[in-house]
Amino acid sequence: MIQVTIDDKTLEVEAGTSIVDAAKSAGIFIPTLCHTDFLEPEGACRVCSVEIEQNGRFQVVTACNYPIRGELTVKTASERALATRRTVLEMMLARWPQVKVVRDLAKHLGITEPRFAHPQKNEDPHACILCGLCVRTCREGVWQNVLGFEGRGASRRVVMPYDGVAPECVGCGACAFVCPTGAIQMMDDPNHPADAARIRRAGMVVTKEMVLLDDDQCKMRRAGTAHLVEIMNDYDLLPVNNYRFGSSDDAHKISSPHFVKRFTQNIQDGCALGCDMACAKGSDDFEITTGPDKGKRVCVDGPEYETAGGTTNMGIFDPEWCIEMNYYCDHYGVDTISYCTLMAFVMECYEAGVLNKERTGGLELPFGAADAAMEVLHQMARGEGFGLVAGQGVRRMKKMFVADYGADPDFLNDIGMESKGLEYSEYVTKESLAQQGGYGIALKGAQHDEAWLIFMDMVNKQIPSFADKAEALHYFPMWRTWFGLMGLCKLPWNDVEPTDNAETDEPAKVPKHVAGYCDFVAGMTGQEVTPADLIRMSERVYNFQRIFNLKMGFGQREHDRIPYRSAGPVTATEYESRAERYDKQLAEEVDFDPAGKSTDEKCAALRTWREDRYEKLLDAVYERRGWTANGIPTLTTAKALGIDKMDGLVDLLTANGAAQ
Amino acid sequence: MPKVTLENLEKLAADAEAARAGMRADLCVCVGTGCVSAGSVALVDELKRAVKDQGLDGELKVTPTGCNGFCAHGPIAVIQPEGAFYERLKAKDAPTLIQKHFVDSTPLEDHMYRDPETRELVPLEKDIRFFAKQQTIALRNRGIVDPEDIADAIGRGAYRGLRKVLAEDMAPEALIQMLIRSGLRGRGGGGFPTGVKWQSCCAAAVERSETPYVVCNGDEGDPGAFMDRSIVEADPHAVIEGMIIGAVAVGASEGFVYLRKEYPLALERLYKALDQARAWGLLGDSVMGTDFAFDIIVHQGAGAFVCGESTALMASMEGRAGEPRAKYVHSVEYGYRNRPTVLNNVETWAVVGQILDRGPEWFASIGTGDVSESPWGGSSGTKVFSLVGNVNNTGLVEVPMGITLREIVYDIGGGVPDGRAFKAVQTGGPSGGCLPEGSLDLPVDFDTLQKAGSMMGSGGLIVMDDRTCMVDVARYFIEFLLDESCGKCTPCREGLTCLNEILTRITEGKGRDEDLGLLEDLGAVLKDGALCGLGQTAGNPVLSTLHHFRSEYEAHIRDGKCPAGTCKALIKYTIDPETCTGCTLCARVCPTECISGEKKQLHTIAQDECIQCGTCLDACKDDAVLVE
Amino acid sequence: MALTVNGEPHPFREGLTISALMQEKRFSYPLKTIFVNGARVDRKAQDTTLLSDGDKVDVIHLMSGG
Repeated sequence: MIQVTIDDKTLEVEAGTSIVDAAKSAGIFIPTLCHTDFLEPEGACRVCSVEIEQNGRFQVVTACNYPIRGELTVKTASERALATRRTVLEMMLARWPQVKVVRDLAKHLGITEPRFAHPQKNEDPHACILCGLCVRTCREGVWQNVLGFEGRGASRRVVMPYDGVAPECVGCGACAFVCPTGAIQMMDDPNHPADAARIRRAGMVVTKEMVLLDDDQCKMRRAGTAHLVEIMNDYDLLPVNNYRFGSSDDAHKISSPHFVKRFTQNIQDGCALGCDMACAKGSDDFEITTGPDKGKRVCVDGPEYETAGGTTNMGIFDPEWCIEMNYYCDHYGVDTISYCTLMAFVMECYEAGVLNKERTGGLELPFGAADAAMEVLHQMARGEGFGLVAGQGVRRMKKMFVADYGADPDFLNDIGMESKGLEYSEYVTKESLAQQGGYGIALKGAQHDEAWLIFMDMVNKQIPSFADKAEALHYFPMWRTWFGLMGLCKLPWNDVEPTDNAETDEPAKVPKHVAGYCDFVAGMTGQEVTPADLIRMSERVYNFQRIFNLKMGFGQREHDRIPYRSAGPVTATEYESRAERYDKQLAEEVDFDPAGKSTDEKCAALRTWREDRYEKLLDAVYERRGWTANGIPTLTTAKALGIDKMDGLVDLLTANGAAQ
Repeated sequence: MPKVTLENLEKLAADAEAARAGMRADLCVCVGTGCVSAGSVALVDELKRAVKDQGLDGELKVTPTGCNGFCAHGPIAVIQPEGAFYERLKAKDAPTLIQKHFVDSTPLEDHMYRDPETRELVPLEKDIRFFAKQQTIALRNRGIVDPEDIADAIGRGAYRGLRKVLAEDMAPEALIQMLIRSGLRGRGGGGFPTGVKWQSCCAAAVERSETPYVVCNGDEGDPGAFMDRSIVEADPHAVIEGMIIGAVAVGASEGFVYLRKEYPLALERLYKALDQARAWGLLGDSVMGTDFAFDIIVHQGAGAFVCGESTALMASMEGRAGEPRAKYVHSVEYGYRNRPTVLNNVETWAVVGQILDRGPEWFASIGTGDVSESPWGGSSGTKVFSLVGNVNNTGLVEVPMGITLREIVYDIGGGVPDGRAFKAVQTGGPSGGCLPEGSLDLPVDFDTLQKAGSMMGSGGLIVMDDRTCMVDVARYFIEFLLDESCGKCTPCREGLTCLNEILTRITEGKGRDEDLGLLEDLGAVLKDGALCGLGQTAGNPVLSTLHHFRSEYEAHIRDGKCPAGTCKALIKYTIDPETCTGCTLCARVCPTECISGEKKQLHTIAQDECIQCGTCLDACKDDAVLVE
Repeated sequence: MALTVNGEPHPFREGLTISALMQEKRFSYPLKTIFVNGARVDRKAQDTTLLSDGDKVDVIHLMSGG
């Protein structure tokens, strides 16, 4: 702490505190113009000039950006400081005599008429006074960087590049919001929304939160989703060795700082133009060490959490390898999640003896076999060797390995992490029944983007009963489906949250943001909507899709099955790695005394119990959704949603026992 | 090519010197920018051809060198080791020069220097008054080393200071203490003790475990200044050596030279010198065979005056607009890419090697420095100035600190031409100040000039005669600064605009009584309120002329007169009936054809059409054109 | 000597702050709201708020994921 005397008050402040902040905490007012809390101080306008004394030296400094690093005396209104401040305002008043903020500040300093004429005198009350707040907000605040200064000295002015309207400007309105003179006006939106201002107001809420809160919350702009690696590891949710385990002592080797260090593109990118969250990252100047681009230095788009989590799922803890794999998946058009999960399956098969060097074309593929795994990726792209097998995905590999190598089908079904043919994404769901449902019931297969309920369920214990879980598995999939309907990204909904979100009735839903989306729809269409209306939109589409799946031969209870690896420990090793947890569950919840029992016996007992609970969950969810016990929307449900007019729908539902 | 090591440097130097000594003579031809414009490249070619034609290949060497300094007399060739000085040479003079000087052994008098006062020929360079009072450290190799040949530079002692540092495995702190003891202060204008700067950078680097950078500021933007350009053109290895030593001192592994794009010759020579230094093992993974690794990257500046300001320069290097930031936290702590950064000017870097080679005490013995109590004590060493304006010997000079302005202007510069009276000397570039006759006996050093209301700056020295209007001079510099202001802070952007408005008004005869007070207030707000060093000193041209030449301002405002006779709105040209001979010259040169008169009759000027350009005044051989 | 953290017992010791408890539980996710016996504890006070034996602590992670 450093002692500082400001006018007649002495106080202690932390080293690095600005004079403005120190003065504010002492209740002393220093006028500012180009300064605001959420931007780095610039010291451009010089309105906050004060006089300081340090070691007998007197000096005029700007209070906004002068960091207090040693004992200091500040005179906020010394003659010299006031002379500077007054002349600054006098010059501004000479140039912009009608601008209110200038007039007010000048008046505050006792100036009504400037003593000199300004050759660029501008009588416009909304003239730009070059404070730069808009430029800095656009750059530092919303990371858009479409505003800048052009010209030097007297010809300085604020423009978009090449003096035009930059196509990169998304009209977020933050610049107009911070402009102290009203010099920035928003143009009409070419999409002709019913109420553009209402949309902008709704958008501004998220913009402000990103600017003010993100660094303390999810760091989406600094690290992107990669920040989840270490968090998932802490909560035993990071998949390791084909989802056997949820954490690893090696996880620190691939945690987000390793990636952040590589991220050179902490800027808006092409993911979604104008998104304030800007979570997509790029690693520039990355040298490729394998495959056709070996030796090239490339820009890699990513990695995101899933790609890093997929890497640990293969038992690989090398961030450089992860980035290279990310690059080749992008390059070849392969989904990183599917690649990682199918490779994890291949590796477990290799370790279990289902595969061997003969069957993989000479590749040794135990967990952690980074080089060989990369080679499989190249082979997949070239359509040769073992790549031809692996590239078909987990579901087909299971069938092939049973047919060709006589593998145990039950074992492969337990560990082959796919549902509806889609490989699992990278979270361990064993301890969250709700999330098992989130993966299993999802219409498109085992993806977490319909519902991510692990924390609510497993950590927070907010949804203990089947009915609670079913309600969550109704609301969240419907809510997330709505983003798909709108073509919106889900992340701004809950990867940054209002500071008072916790005090709302249902924090998990982020009610303020949901209200913002209602404003968005109303502003766009001119029709008022409620949160329930939004859910209704999704229910119509979601049920329609489920019925469509049914028509195509899917969409029944059997298709919502999940591999047991996602619900509990398949092998003794897995059980033993978390034995305390499982034993406790057996004793307290299953009514099975684990004492003296073999691991296999305990595994079996736990499995029976957990599989039964999953079936009960399906019953509860189907009921909540108005579906039959076989997971089919009933005719009543279809009618209620107004989707019953489809040709053949009644016959289809009747034929499948859902005519009620 | 050989790799330079700690062991073989001396031998390489001896070999180069032996090769030189084995020759009968070395014809050193200036190929600095000034002489190149006057045709010295062709002169070099023709001299080489003439040497060959005369069969003197084995005896005579032709060496293209950096700026000789005596630019007004170029192209220049100096024959070493005797030091015979030939000036204003053209390519066609080459065969005659070789024939007469070397075959006939008679000097080529047509191209010898003639003293303007005594009218006598001065055969040797050292006897020319322009050189007599100079002492060269930064420019020690000017006119004798081929800047494009590293072997030649090594022969003249390049990298000897660096060798000492590496061979003795000097601890950074010991190295820094030597710099502090030498009294070297930043030659870019700030005058900050170089050793202290390095020390702070070291401390910041250690505290934060960051690798610092070293940067060379070569963004010389003052009108009429060419010190840095000439040093890089003449002796790039001196700069490189200094930077390597700086890197050893602070623990940097990368260095940068920020050099303006408008200096193509300097850039070309620097690139060549860097390539050679790398090839010879003086830069790269193993400097002089040691495990010290360092390399230098060149950034080309796009020609903004403000980029000479250190923080703006670093912003520019980072790819952003060249705008300064507040220096409450210094760039030695948070500089380029937020790492601790030592930034020194070209001239500062160029003397570092010498200080190490010859010892800090040697350097401190030159000039007025005394660092026994504080590193800020006095000014040690020499300073390079570009001497321009109304002075006979324009050129580049290096003088010991403490020399008086009078010695520079009269002894070296040869005084004011055309018998006119001295009026002022402007030091420190556009944001320096104008000092009058009464200040001529002041010793030139950092503190004295500052006390006198001007500054050392990077070394511009502009001499003005009695036909220079000081209000107009102030207006000229303010206009320049306004044009070059980045516009970020209010005092600089608006203050200079208002100053320019008021000064223009005064030179147009529309000044008001209160204007002088306004000028002072605006000067004060710049000094206290502007963000960067450029803005803070931008009021100097006004404040110093107001201080020393106040009556001239008052004459403009109160009497509507320009005493120097240059402010067009306030003057009238007439022709004196007594002295006009009717030669018609004025009528012929007048661009608006407003002068009429018959041959051998009195001529008259039609005042309505006269634009006060002064062409007739300059043309008239009989001084018959009068200015009112 | 025990606390109840999200419905599960957790050993109590004297001087245990909320922040320290979060470390013991490895609750590293930044966006969470903490209630002690039903009362919300401000983020800034978590370093200094001491827990008492028998306290019921609810840690609500505000994440609905991926």
